[in-house]
Amino acid sequence: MGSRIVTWLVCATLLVWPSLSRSDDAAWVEELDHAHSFIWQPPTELRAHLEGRSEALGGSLREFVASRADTGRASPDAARRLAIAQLLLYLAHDDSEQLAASVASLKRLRDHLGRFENRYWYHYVLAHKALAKQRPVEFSEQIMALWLRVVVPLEGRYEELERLSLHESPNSGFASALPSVYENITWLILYRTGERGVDRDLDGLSAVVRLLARDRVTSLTQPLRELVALLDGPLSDDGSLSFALALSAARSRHERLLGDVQKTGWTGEATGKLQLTAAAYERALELAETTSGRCAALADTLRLRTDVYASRIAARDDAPGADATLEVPGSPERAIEVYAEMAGARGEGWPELGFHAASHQDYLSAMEALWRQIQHSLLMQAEYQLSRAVAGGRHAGRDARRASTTYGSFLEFFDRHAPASGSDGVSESAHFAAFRAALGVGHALLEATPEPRQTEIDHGILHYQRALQLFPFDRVLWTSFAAALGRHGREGAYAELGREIAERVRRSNSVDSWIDAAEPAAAKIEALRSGLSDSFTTMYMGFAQAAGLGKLEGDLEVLRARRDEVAAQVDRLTQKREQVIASTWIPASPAEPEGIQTASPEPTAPSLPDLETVARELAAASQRLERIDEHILARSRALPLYRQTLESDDLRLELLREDHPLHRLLRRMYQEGRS
Amino acid sequence: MSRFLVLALSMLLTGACADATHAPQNPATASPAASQQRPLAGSALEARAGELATARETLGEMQTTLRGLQRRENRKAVPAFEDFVRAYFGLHLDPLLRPEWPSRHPDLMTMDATLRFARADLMRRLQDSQEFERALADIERRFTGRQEMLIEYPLGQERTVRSAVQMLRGRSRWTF
Repeated sequence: MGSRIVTWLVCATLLVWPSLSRSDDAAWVEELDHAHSFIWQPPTELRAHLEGRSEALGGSLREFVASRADTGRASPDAARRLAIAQLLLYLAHDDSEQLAASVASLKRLRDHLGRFENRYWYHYVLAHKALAKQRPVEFSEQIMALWLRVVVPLEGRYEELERLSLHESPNSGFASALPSVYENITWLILYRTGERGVDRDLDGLSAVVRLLARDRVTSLTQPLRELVALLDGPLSDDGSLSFALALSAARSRHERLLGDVQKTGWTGEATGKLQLTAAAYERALELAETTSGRCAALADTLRLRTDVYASRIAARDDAPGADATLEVPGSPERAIEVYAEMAGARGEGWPELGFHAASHQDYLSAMEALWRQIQHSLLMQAEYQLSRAVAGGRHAGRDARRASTTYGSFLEFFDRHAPASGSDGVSESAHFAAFRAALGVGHALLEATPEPRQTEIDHGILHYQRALQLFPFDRVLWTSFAAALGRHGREGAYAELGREIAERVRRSNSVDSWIDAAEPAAAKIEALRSGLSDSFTTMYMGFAQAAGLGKLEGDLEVLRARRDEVAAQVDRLTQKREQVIASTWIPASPAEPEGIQTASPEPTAPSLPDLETVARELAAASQRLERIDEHILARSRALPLYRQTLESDDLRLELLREDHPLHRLLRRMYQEGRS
Repeated sequence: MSRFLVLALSMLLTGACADATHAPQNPATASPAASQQRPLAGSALEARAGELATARETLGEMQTTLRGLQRRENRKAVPAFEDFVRAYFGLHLDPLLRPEWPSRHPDLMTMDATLRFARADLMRRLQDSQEFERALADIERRFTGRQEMLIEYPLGQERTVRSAVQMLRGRSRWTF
């Protein structure tokens, strides 16, 4: 009897509700039961996935939803699947009506939350609803509930199944979905919050994020790790998840922007994206409650600023008339203020700046990271301005002076913080950067400014000199220095100014020990030191660039030939003088007795003036010979030294590498110079 | 009428299937090992050790998060997070710590004690003085005669039970 009733009921089902018998429905049911494994996809991919499945299954998800929408008293499974289908449509098409429908479908699940699967979808859909309504606290509560009521109990079960290698078995129930549950929660927190503009009051989820990062997630490992670094690392806002998410989202925008600009250049679209990226960083900065957070946000904003200038230089956007209206984000001045605050607390009080969980070394690393971004952004900005000035045009003078001011800003920052700090919290390449800035000021004022004023000339020369003090191993700068002095009629000062710097290098213990310890580039440094120890070579370094080494060697040969000529002349004159002396008539002594006659009176007796002439010529030739010998000796010694210095021309380029060991030597020399 | 019957049937059938393969109704009893009153052995003991290790991890992250929230005086997030912590205790941790035997089991007692200290520390941070005192009294009772046993308090730092109790009491001035 009972079996007859069941049979009758099943038949009635088939008659009354034809859609239930359709094969596409059954297939969608299976698909929806595995929706946890693909629901995290971005809208485009999710749409493509659903369309692909619609074709394969012979019916769309919308049709499935339409066929189920009026089943007001459906089973909990049917209600859950309907809610999932509606959620999928919401996510794929950003159709908020579908989200509302999904929430409504969930109501039927309220009394059936004993099943993990129901519980999971219940909280998951409500989490989406909270995001759509921009309610961060409610969103956090749904995620926490999901964690407590689904994840924690399933974890023990999953581990048990895993031990038995049954965790992927179709009969293992919802426990086998646990890896997808982790991924979906991660995706919600990491990306969906940002997409829905929910970026504050999420800090309560920090614990969940940290737990997810403990080897629970497989596909989003890297972004999650980066997020946790922003949460707990030295560059964080003292554990604020809202801040970490905002900064992480800004960084993602930043990376995408760089990719776009590389492909298309600064199009209108790219400019729009730049503004959005800058706004995202600005938002992170607003959310930062601690100096630590501000330090992290400002460092990244300056990185964006550097990238913008670099890309504009690379795109030759420096040509006269090129669009220079692009607004460049970031403020080095604000970053410098934050750095000053951190420098002030370096000795004590630093944990209170948001570094409670960090070590002192982490604190110094954070300072160094900020320094590096200040350095990069200011130098890149100045180089951009200088490149515009060098390209010429109506505003060349203005651009050159702006470049000089920007370089000067870095020097001011350097002078304020580098001397006091030793090496703490200062970037490894800071001293080379200061060299570049001093060189830049000199270059901007002496080379790129069309008609510099006298004060600008003095300022420029002073900065070239400063650049040489900071990095005396830049042979090319010696030449630029001499040329600049020459252009402004002060070439005579070169020897004296150069000697002073060369003397410091010669006496430097740091340089000595660098060479003795055969540290990197020691051979080049030794060659340059030898060059600077020789005044002739120093002069060559200043003035010989235009002539070239070949000419100098040719001149030496000419000089040697001249020496041979002069030497021959000296020989000739010596002989002549001897002849003159030998043939000189010596008159009889007045005391000689009378009557005694000499045998043959000298018929060719020269006059006294002849002898004097020969002697004078000989003396002059000898002096010339001596001078030539001195010159030959000096040049013979200096030329090989000069040749060696030319081989070190690439040092400046090498030092653009931030981790080049030679930066250490520059730092030591700077400290030595100050002591 | 027939449609109602169909729905009723389908609900009945799906419900029956679910009961066969899915979780029990009460999440607190989600982990069968949690409420075991008698000592476990073999793989069950191993599973319990795993659960305790996961709980330690969770408590550690909860401490870090709560410290940060309280330090930043995050008024909106703190209440929600405190509820989360309490719910975790009620649903998962307390059932796990309820039995007496893990506190005496040589393979589990160190972790068991460590979790109790971490829980008490969180109670202190939640300013729940009654529960805090109760937790400390429970620790002292359970580990009488094993005051020199090494445990972790704070998490990541090893010290004896005696020293940890003193330290925790010293911190219970309700100042943070």
